[in-house]
Amino acid sequence: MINYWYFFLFFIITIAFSIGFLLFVALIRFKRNVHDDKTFPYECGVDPVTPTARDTYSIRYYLLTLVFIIFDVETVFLFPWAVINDQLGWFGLIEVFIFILILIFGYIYAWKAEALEFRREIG
Amino acid sequence: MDYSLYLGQLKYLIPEAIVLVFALAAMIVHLFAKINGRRAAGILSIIGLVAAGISLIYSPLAAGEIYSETLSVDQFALYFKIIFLISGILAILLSFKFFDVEKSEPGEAYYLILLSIVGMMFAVSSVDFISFYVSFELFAILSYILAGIFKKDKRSAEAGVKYFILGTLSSALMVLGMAILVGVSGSTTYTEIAAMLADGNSKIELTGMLLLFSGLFFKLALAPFHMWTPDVYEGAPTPLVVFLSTAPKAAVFAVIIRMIYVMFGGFEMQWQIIFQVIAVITMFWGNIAALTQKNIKRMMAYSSIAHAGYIMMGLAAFGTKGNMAMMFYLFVYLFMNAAAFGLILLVQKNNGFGEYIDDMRGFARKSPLMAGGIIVLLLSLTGIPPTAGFMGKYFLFTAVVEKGMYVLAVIGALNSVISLFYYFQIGRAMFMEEAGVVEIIKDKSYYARSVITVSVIVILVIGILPGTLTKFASLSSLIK
Amino acid sequence: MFYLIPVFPLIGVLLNGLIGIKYFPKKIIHSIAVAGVGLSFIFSVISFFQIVSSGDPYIIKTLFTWVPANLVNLSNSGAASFVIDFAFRFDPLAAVMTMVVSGVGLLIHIYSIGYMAHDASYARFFTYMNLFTFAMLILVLGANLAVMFIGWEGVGLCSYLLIGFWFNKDSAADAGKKAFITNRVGDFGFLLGIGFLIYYFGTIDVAEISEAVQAGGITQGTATLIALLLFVGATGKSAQIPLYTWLPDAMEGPTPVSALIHAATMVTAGVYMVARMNVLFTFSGTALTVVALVGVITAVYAATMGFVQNDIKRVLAYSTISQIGYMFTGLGVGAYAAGIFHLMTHAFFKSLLFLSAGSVIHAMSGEQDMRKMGGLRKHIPKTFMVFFIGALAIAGIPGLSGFFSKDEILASAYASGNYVVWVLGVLCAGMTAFYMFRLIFLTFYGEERIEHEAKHHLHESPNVMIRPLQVLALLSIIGGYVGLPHILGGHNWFGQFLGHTVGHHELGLSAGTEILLMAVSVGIGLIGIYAAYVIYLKKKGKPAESLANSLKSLYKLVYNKYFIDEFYNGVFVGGAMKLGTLLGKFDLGIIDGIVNGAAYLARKISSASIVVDSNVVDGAINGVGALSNIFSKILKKFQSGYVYNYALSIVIGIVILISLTVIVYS
Repeated sequence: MINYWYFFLFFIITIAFSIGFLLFVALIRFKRNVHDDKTFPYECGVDPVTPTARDTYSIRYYLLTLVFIIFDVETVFLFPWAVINDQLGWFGLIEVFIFILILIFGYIYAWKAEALEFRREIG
Repeated sequence: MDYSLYLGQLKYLIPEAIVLVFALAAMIVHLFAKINGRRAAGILSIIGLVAAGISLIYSPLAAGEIYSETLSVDQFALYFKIIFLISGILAILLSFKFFDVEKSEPGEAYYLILLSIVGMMFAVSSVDFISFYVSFELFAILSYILAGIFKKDKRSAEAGVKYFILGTLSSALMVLGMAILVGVSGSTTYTEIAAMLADGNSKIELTGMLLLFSGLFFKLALAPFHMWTPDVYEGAPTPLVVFLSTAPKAAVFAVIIRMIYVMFGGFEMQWQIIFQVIAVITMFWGNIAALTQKNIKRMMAYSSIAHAGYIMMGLAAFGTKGNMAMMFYLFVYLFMNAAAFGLILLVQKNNGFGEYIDDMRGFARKSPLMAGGIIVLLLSLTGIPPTAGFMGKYFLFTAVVEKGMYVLAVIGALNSVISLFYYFQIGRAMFMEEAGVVEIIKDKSYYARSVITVSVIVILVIGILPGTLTKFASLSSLIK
Repeated sequence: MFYLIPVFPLIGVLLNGLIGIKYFPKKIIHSIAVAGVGLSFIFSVISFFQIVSSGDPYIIKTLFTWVPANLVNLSNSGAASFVIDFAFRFDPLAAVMTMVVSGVGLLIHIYSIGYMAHDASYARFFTYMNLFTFAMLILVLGANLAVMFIGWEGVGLCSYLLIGFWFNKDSAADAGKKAFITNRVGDFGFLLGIGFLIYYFGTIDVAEISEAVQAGGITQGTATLIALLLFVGATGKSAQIPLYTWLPDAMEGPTPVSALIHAATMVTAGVYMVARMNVLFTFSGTALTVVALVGVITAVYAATMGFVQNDIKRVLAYSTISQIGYMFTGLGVGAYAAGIFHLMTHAFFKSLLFLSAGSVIHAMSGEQDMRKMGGLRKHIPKTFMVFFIGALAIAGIPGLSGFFSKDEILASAYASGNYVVWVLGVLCAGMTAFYMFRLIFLTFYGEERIEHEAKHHLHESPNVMIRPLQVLALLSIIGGYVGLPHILGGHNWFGQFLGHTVGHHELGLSAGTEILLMAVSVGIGLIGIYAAYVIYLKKKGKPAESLANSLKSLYKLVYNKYFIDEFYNGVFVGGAMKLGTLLGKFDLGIIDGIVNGAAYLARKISSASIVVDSNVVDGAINGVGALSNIFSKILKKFQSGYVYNYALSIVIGIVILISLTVIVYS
């Protein structure tokens, strides 16, 4: 049971650090740059709160997001490997390299298929 | 746990590795080659499948389960891997022809087929829920993409989306079933779960098993989980339907056989009845609904439902003979399906393919040899000697009779009589109607012609001399 | 040597079918076809003399092992292992059959050279004919039921192809399909019978089954079950009640086909098969009675329909059904040799009748309606001569072949004590004579009712057609003397010879009784001929007309073949179609309806939500608008049409599956 306290400790430190950092920045920053985009909740160019509530999004936005999420999630699989890496030895290393290699191929495909281009000529 | 063995165990996975490497190579060729990269990717894919087949013959079989009891590389898995490779080769060959005529060639199709074969190869070897589910989803998700690969064709896109949504639903239910079993037993390996299920009278375990089977039945297109089949087979590109209607079904049947053998022996009383009932409903539904179809692809979709029902009889009569019969039938069914869909690729209509029975009028006059081959094929689909289809049904029926399920055997025989009606509508249209309506695609039709010819020869040879295949199938049907 | 018999027609098929269709001239095509069948005939005769001189009961030749041992494990039958050899068996029964098939086949092939001379698909015709001969020879030579079944299905296929030979005629195409499907119904029974044989005996070899039956391996009930299932197959192939309806329609094919397949050989396959399995049928007893009754009832029933037909070939078709009924009657009273004897003589005179009918049709430029003939005997005297001989033979006039075989069957029926069968048989003999001579008088005698156009072209057939007819006429006369009964000074050599295979019983009747029986059947036949003479020649058909008028409904019933075709169509074909449409509608119609309804509902809700969106929410807080957007997206998922419904069916399926199973097994 006692071990879980470390988690909470980690939690508290994280929050304290982020608040402290923001305060620190507030002390040392230059003049505040006021811009429309900066007022958006998610600074990604998409407004979640629109005047008509029937706004359209570019379909490419979803494609980009999907590609991002896929690679993001695949990264998670590196954690179990890292945890028992010392037991797995060479096999683990080879395995994880194969894994990353396949991911790279996926990345190449996404790149060549122009999934990463936000603007593309419709042809 | 001793991980030092793992590196050495890689040698059991050489065929899978070859398919994977060629898939990636084909992708690179497709993306980077300046001219004809798509066709080159296709040819490379075929080379890869052949190479994997050769390595399959020479690669060793593992004595026990490898990788912490997650994979079992045995003769049983080997048999199915051969089916997948042949299915892939036939589908790619037909695709060449198909894409030539459609004047649009999505090169992705080739390596997606290869990747999905990798998934199936792992699935039939799996003896653990995690490795099973990961490899199952690998080939399941790719099959949704393959169905919808012609994004601009409305029917293809519709097929892909439908297949995807329903497939996701069924695999969610399947995962629920696996979760129940894992929750009850506390393990993901088949053998350890089997130890918990041995008594075979707990409701919660029974529920888990049925949910798991339901997800698998969806892939097999068994009634009442078959609704997607006609729409998807009609919409998806024809050569890919050859692949989608053979390889994944074989894989899922293999998975069910292994699960029953290792895990669900205790529930024999329950699944025997369920399988019988589902086999009967599926056979009747498939065959009777096919009677009034005018579109050959839709008709073949219902026919494939019916054939799944026949094979299901083998599962109901689970045992050495039943398994052998199923494996024999799956092998034969592969060639029958390839030739049947190949037929559609021979007939032209309005710059596309003639998919309707009426489009076959006068076929025999234009191409008598091919027509003769198709008659053999129809005989085989119906189950009339001297064709492989007859031998397959014969083994299934004897297996069923041996288990004492006479009613099931009679219903099966009755259904094969019903099927005669709609199969021979095609034969009638080819032979019995006036000539001149049909337009056979002459240029570059050798891919489709060679696939049909090879398939028909295989059907005849197995039909007349079934000895070798039966020996191989019965040898392979012994798990462990 | 005998295993080479079926090889020659197969070579003909390959040569003509693969190369000949495109490259050979007509002369080479028919030379190959005739040579193939001719060589088969020569080899049949050689093999026949071999078996006669050697005195072996049978010879077996195994070509290869078809289904190896240990593949099928039949624990309950007690058989050590189950093997199917691809083997041929030659014995007296097979000898008779191969000679009839290849001999009559040869003559018909020669005849076809003339008959089909102007047909565009010459090569296709001879390919099919050779293929048929090949399949039929496989059928009669098969040493086990599996090999026999190949031939059985093969002749069915050829019959389908040849009936629909003129496939651009809708009626021909439909007739072909009808024949094939009706046969498949019978095959279903045949296959079940084979299945039960495997189950109970562990073998399908003819000799082994006979041994097992004689050793008392099964109960009488089981034997009856198997025998009746096999007999269902025989009724399909041999056009007996209730599966006879396809044969009259089969006359849509070319006349040589009608003669070879639908009169002389294929339709007698059922008779052959029952004779082959005679041990089983005899052991059962009940099955034998069924065979006799079905046979004699079919014989009488088909003869009544023969009375009223006007199409010359259809009369012969009903006559064929009737005569095969006779053969079954013979088998059914235990006189297997007599049944086969009649099979042989019938092959001679019925193919003769068909071919001469073909010659008549040829002469009449394709006209088949007897009401438009009459007085033809002056125009085509040669054809008339041979036709008349054939009619005398079938009517059982003493001295011709039909008399001996028919008489032996009737005598056997009487001797076995089945007096009802005997009475019906004699009655049928009279009916046969009547309708055959009705045909003769309408066609060859009386006033000429020929249409002008046809009369202009009226001509005798070429020699290549007439010669085979003359040979067949000779056979129809002398063919019966191989089975000359003791009472007339013979030794019934045919019966003795076949006795090696099917058993031979002396009748055990006194000479007086036997003579009396003969006299009765001959007398009835003569009465039939006389009646036909009076009604159709002397009174020019008037009595028949007035009878038809006074018994209008009965006449209509018989003329329309008792409406059995309509009954089958309505009940079986229509029923299956309706069920198919229903299920198709269920998938497309009802589900469509549900889906469209769901989609409609969703659209309404969606449009309502748009109204709510734009008027109420838009004006209010934007955050709620975003929420409503998500809500609308969820609703859109319900708009996906079919998928929704498919998913529903999956879920319902699972719910039923799980709830039922859990309830039942707990």
